[in-house]
Amino acid sequence: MVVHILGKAFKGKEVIKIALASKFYGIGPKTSEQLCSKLGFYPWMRMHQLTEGNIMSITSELSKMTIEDDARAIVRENIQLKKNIGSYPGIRHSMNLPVRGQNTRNNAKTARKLNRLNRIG
Amino acid sequence: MLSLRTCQRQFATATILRAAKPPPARGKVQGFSRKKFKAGDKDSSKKISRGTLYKNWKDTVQTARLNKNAPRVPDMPTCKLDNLENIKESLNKVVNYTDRQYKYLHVLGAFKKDQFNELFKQPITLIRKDTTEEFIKLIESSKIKNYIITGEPGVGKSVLLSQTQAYAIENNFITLNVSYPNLFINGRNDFFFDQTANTYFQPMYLKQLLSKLKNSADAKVYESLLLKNNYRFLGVISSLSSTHKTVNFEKGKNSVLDLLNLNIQPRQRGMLFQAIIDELSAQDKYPVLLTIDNFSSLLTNPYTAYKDTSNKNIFLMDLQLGKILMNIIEGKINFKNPKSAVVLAISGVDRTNQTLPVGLGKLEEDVYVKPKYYEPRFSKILQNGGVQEFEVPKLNKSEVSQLIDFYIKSGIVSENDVEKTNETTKLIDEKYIISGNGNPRELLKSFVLSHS
Amino acid sequence: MIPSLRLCSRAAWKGPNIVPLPIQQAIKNPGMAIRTNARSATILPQFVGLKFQVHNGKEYVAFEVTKDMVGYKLGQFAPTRKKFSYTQTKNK
Repeated sequence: MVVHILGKAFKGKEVIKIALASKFYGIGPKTSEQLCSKLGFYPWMRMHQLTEGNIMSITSELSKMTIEDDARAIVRENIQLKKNIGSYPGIRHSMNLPVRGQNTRNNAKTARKLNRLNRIG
Repeated sequence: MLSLRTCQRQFATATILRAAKPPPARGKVQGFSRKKFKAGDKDSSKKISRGTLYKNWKDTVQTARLNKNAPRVPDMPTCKLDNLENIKESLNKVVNYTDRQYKYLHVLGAFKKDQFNELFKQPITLIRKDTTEEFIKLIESSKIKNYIITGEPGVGKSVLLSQTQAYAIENNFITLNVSYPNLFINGRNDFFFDQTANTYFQPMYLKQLLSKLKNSADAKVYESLLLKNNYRFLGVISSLSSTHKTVNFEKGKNSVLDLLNLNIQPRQRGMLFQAIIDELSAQDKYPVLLTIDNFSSLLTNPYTAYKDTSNKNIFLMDLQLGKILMNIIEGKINFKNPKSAVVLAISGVDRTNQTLPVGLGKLEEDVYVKPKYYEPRFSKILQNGGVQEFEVPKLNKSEVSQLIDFYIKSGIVSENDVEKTNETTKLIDEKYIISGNGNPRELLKSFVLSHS
Repeated sequence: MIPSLRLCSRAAWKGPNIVPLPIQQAIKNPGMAIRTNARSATILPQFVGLKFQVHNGKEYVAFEVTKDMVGYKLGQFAPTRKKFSYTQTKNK
């Protein structure tokens, strides 16, 4: 049984608080736990137990938060600002290099993958 | 055969387990699995076959009915456990319960998964002078009816509890047993806030508890208890119509059995449970025995895993069940029948804190201790209820020798050990020391886990 | 400026790193650049619109402070390392 929330598919056996945190960018374990307790779900409730009304209320709660593209846009804005004022972190981001003084002789794989002005992850 | 039953506790996978196809496990298979199981379907049982590896090995051992393969021990005495004379007769003997007791003890959940019950045809018990006789004597004659059983891990606290339950079954008590209280505070069952009752109800857990209550005594017991109050329940599910209806119960006309048989909507189940507790406390025909095993998990976790709408952990007494249990212990809910009793048992492996010692008056209250180590409200409850401690001592040598005799008869002792029985006293001495001077669980482990 | 980020790196009770700089003079005569070696000085709101020349170890890098820069350190705008670029001939 698959449950759809905001266009994302969840398996029925997934625990709600864990599944929300892992599928939505901008929601972590803490936020999803707060959301579940606000809506009165018990801590280990699973997706297949949600009624239509419950899913609607989750959707309306999520739509009030900054998640997914909105949350990513904030990160991008911050990086862009650093670049615009010409600070060191901004320069390092634009060069795809580590920002916080890590070594670059070897590796720096994560930075090469993620650090860019149009950051995705 | 021998290797099968004795190796089952070993977690090494090398041993080949040769088991006859076990009959299906009890109850329905629950959950979200795609496979459709029918009740009584043979494939729904847990199987132990060549090379199978189990995630939940301990659960499997309990439910795979390995005990079917155990040989029957000839001339096993049976103890009725209904009065002191009966107990005195079979003192210091390994006995079976009666069939009636087995039926109800299984329903109550008295036989637990870490007790090695699968090694024997039926769960057995040792009638001890220091515990069984002493404790039943206390329950029968003493004015105090509130006890907490303490002792080290594996010493037989839960066994003493089930012996008390067996005594209660024979003496027509109504027994309310909470075998794993952790289950209603760990956040794995549903809950909701009820405005009218001003507490949190837990329908899923209550369903199990109510069916346990219903099936752990004869139907005629509940049938003879006529209601003392009028009740009106909304949302009763009937097979005739698809809509829920309202049902009225009249006092003096309907019985507690009618309440227990009611198929009610989950949201109304809390009200039903409250009504049943009210009725049980108002009647004086049958004594009520409340038993809670692993009670220490409640004492050490005053704040449950459930969270309210502002994401704060809910206090145990705000849950309906927690409040009712604590009120019974404290004496706020009083069962009319004077023989009614409350027997709690701690778990030896739980975290300990100062709540219990202060509650029993063994320790001075220290108000500056952190809440994690001391919960004053629970200590107060224990004090108000006048809860007395009953400590389970370790086995003495004669009891150890009785147990070893029985183990040899039931064929779980390895040949190495059996050879030593030429000098029985030597074996007893050795096992007495290995078991930490008479800890029953360690004793059994020293036999069972020595196979290779 | 993100206040929490600033607080992450430095204890709150210390406050910003305030270094004596000739701010008053610079405000009086616009166009004057403040030449300094204090790379760790926090940029305060009063600095906005002033010109700085911050030492990068070799020379003084010039820049003008804007509103967005408040809360950063002066040294963050004067890079100390040159990017390596390969050249064919040695005598260039």
